[in-house]
Amino acid sequence: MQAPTKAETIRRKWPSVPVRSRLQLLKHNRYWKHRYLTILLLPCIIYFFVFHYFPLYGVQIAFKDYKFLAGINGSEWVGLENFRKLFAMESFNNAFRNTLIISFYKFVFGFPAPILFAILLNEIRLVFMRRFIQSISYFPHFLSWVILAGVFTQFLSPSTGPLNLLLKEIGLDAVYFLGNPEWFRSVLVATDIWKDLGWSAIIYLAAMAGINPELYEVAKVDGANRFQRIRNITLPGIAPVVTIMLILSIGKIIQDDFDQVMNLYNPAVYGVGDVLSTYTYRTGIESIQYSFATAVGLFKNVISLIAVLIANWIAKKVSDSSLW
Amino acid sequence: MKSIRKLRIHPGGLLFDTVNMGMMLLLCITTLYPFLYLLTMSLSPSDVSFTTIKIWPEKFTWANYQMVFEHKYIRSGFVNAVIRTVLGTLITLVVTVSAAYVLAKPYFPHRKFWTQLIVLTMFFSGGLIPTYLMIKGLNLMNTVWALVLPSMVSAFQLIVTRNFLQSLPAELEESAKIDGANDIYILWKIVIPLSMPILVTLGLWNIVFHWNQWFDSMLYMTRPENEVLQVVMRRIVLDGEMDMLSTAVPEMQRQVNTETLKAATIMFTTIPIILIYPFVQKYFIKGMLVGAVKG
Amino acid sequence: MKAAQWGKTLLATMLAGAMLTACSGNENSPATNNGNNAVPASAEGSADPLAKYEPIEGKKYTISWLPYEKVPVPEDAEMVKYYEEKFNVDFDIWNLDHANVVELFNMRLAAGEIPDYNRNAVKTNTLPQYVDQGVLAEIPEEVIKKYMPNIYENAMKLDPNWLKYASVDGKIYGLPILSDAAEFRTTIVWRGDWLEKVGITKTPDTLEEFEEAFYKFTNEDPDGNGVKDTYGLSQSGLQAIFGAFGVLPGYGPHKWQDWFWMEKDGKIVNAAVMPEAKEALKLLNKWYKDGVLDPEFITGENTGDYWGISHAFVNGKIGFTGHGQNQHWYEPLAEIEGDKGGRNYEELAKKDPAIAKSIRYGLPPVGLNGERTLFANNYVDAPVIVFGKQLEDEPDKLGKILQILEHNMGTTKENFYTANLGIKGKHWDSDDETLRTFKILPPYNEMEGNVYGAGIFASDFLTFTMNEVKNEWARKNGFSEGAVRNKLIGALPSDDMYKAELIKLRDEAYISIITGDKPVDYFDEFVKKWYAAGGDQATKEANEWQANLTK
Repeated sequence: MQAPTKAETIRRKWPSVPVRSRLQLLKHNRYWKHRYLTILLLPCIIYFFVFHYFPLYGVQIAFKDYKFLAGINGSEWVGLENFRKLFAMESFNNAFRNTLIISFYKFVFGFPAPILFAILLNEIRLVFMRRFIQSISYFPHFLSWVILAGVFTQFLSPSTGPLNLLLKEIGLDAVYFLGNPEWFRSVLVATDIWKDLGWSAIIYLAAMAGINPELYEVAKVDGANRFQRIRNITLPGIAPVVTIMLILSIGKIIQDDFDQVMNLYNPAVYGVGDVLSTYTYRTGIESIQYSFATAVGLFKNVISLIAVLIANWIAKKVSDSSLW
Repeated sequence: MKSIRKLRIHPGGLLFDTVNMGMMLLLCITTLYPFLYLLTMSLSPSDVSFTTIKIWPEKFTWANYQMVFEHKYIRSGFVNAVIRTVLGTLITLVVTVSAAYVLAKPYFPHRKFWTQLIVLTMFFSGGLIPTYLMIKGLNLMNTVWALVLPSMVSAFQLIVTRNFLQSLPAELEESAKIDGANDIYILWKIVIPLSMPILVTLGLWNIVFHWNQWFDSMLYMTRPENEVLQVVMRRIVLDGEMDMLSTAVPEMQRQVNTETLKAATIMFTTIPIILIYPFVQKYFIKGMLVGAVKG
Repeated sequence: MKAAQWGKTLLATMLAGAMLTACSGNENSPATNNGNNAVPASAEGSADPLAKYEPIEGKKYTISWLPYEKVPVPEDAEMVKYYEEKFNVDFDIWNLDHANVVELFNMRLAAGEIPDYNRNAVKTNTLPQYVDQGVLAEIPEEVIKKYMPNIYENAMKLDPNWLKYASVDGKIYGLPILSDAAEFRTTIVWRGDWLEKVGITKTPDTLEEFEEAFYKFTNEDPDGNGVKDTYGLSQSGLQAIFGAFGVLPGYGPHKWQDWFWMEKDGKIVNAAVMPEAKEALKLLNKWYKDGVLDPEFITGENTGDYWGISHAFVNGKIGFTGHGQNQHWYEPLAEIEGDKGGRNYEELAKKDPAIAKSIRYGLPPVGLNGERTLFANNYVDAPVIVFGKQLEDEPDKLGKILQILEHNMGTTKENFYTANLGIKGKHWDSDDETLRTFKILPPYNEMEGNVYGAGIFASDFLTFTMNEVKNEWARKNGFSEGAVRNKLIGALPSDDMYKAELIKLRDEAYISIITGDKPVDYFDEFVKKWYAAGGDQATKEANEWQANLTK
């Protein structure tokens, strides 16, 4: 069988239109018009369908009583049973609350920290110093929490840790940072910021690198001091990136760092430190309850999505830049 | 230019600089502390006790590093990690930049729809099992593609790149268009050279991601010679840890790997990626200069 | 308008997703193994129900084998080839990462892959769930008896309930591993030099003597540095104190002791809520206030590193510990060539050999009831060997696997050593006929045995042991005295619902009482809370389980 000619295809597709005009139609198809752009976009779209949209059928586990042998599609539907079970547990609600509180602190202190760091670093004039400091600042990003937990347990020890020795030196009482419920969340927030400060700053530094240096020279000639230059040139220059990061961080408000909490917490601080992922781990995965774990995951994702939609909407109203 | 700037420093600026520098150095010290600890450990012979913190090795040896270099699977793991990192980063860069370029064009049809389609994936995933079945179904088990393809594009990186490209001045492209150049040509010849900062950032993110990623290798590589360095490293480092999942059984086996060897292994897997950075950082500055010359 | 836009996007993607799903076909067809599914003809007509389990002579079986392994086994590992030739089979070794084995195993199950033999990933407490999922084969007791007679006989001798721990509704689904560690309780270790320094010559033996030593360790500067920076005990020492009151509530560094049930007036009860524990907490609260109990007992004595090390003890912060097992503390044994002793001994010796030599191995304190009480494992512990469902259709293959197990673990000591260590004269050697001691030959002594396939065809049924010399040492040093075992083995049906929460409740209550955050009488409130939060249900199930077992 021979492939139909182009004219033939067009005739089949638009039978009521004269051939000449049909050719025109194709020419006027917007994807055809931007065919080079379409080609450029295509691999990306295929990728998202194959590796993100297609596997989505797995989400149904959350609404099923999942059995290995029956498979995902063959398992029995149980409706919202898994969710009902979830919300009925007091411990789940406690973990949920902790997650929100810890994420909120991480957001309030952790979001501005790398921006501040990037700005301050940008103000250092000795180029080699700037590079040196930046290179060092992202070191901790590469160390796993397994290793860091060991280091922090020693560093924060009330009897032998250097930090407490310092506190005692200046006449304060030693604080049991990891064993005291009042301090534990602060420890989580502080260590989290410390670990990713330099790494998160990379994107802001990249944005600053994109700012035209002439702007600074002109401002200088006009007599603007350093703070004015930061406020009027640097900040507006990185504003779009800040907005995106802000929207995304708000979406992360329900995400937590499993590795961090798992490695740092102990029974004394369960009450304030137990978060959704550690909770799900203890009750779900340890006892092969995939449906249950998937339900928690889906719950988290829906909340994230709503948070991002709201943040994006606000960002659009306020600053005109948004995720899409 | 720099010397002129220096001459103009006034007292307030000097105070700012001093305080600023002081804070930065303090930060560096706290940051370096755990590294120094590991470094010291990795350079000490295994008969030195490390139950308390030491900052400088009492006795010095290269033996731990020598053992690391001689480890069969650390070698193959290193090679595998380099391959996946290079291949994965290149593919990601090409596909991400291409797509971001398209989505930055306001006139591309259904641009919003495509963007949302991609953003949406940040929030939903089907979980481990469907992806595993997909990799198996595509016959990618035990191949480097299983490590490269599933993480080919990140929606977040795509959006960041798109925003960067949107901020580039449109005039250059327009003049090229008038000269009859097609989109691919414009992207390659005009847009990419202007985009060094974002390309370097993307590259760095992905290099680090690929270098540190271990979970996928654990899922899709069933033979020890196909595993990446991080998996081998984790196994050495976790040796002797009490099994998180075990509800019973204190293990009778003793650990085989000493703490000093573990430290050397961690350093060996971490240092290469850290070494890349100063090199890459040059391009940040270069990118800035390119940005300056435009116009 | 925005919402409409989103709606469209969602709809479009969902449709696309549904389409793809529809096209995907069914990936969930039950695993059909590559082996031969035909039941041997001889079994059909035969009256003997066990005949179908008889391996077919000359048939080359392909066996998928999920061993206990710490590092992956290469396909061409020497011992794999050795046993393939010896048994005329093909092994398909499953390498699943040691630290994530359960997750990976479950994923494979989801993809319809079930290993024939599985010595990893399933434990007595998860077994019922896998049975419920229908992925495990049933093995009649008669078959076990017939194909692994020595193992069966020995295991039943050690614990007549051996197979019941792997049973669901009266059917056997696995072979529980027996633990070599079970003979010995956890440790009681003293700093001998500190005892001498504070003028105590006799190793403390009663609760009063323990208390005296702790107070002296705290107040009399045993390390002689002029600073009051020492304590009597920390987290791991608490169990011994509770033990003196006759209960083991499980609070401590070791997860495997966490969930402890004892018998009282013919009933099974959880030790954590017994009134004796309240008395112990009262004393501990006093010690805490007096600075005898290390305030960092909450985070424990191990600060990262190998779990069996007590940093607090090795660093001279405390003079008494109960951390780990005897193998973490034993002194170098002359009979074993190049032995450096347990990990803690080794660490101490690095600092000062004299301190290491001064270690005294004590007994748990004689309690109020005149008995010594400290935790010891049950012979049957968590791991269970299980077999894939597909073997119900291939009984002859199951028979073959059982024969292999019997050969390696149940026949001779040399076969047992070969399975564990490799080939005699190449990978290991021994000077004496009875194989009391052995040494692993270089270069193999510096590798994990898995790399050449050693150990992956071995499992422990205690028919033989490789630790004869160390076990003798432990017996001589009193490690089998005062051993008390958990009355509950395996999982309760409600474990996933309540267990983690109940343990959390206990830990929070105990810590706050010890540190004085809450008064001692808070204990009664905790007990009420504990029962209300699922403890009632768990206790009921534990007693049902017990009744079922003795039936």
